[in-house]
Amino acid sequence: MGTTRQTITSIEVGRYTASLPLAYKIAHYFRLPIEAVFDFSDLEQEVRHGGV
Amino acid sequence: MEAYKRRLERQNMALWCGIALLAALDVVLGIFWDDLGLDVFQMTQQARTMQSMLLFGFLIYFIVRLVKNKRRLKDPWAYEEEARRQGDERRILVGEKAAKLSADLALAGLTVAVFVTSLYNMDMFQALYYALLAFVALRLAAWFYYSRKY
Repeated sequence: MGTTRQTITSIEVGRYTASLPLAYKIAHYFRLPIEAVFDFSDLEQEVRHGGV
Repeated sequence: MEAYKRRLERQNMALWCGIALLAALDVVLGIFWDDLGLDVFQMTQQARTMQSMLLFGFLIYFIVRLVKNKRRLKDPWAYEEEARRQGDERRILVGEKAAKLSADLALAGLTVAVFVTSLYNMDMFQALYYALLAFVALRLAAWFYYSRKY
């Protein structure tokens, strides 16, 4: 994936947000869509309440 | 990976140039020390020590870095590992954020130093003042460069 174990760990614990290309690579590795790998519930709430 | 290999090779070229320049500087200073018009009478031991540390310190650092780069190019596993580490987006982000913070703090510290030295020592004030101007110009230039690039 072209990234370090430290970065993956930071993503897992929520300290770091992966960029779109990295998120895509991670999802592709697990053969799942991005939405199934990453939790977007906070973002969905924000969008529903009027934020862009 | 190929991009990282090219980067290492460019770095090696720059390191060789740096080593040659430092060695030449060392020889020139050694031969022409008395003829350079240096302020040797007021030069403190601290200044002499700092000169030696900078000159030889950088020389040793360049040589060590060159040897490490050459070893990395020969060992595919180490090379791949380092390429992955160098290209890691989180590492780049952390570096950029730390650089901005340290540059801003250095700017603030330099400004205070310019003000304080303006009260006590004109020679030092002149040196720090122009260093501050150069630092501000560099900061602005870097900002404009990256704001146009992205």
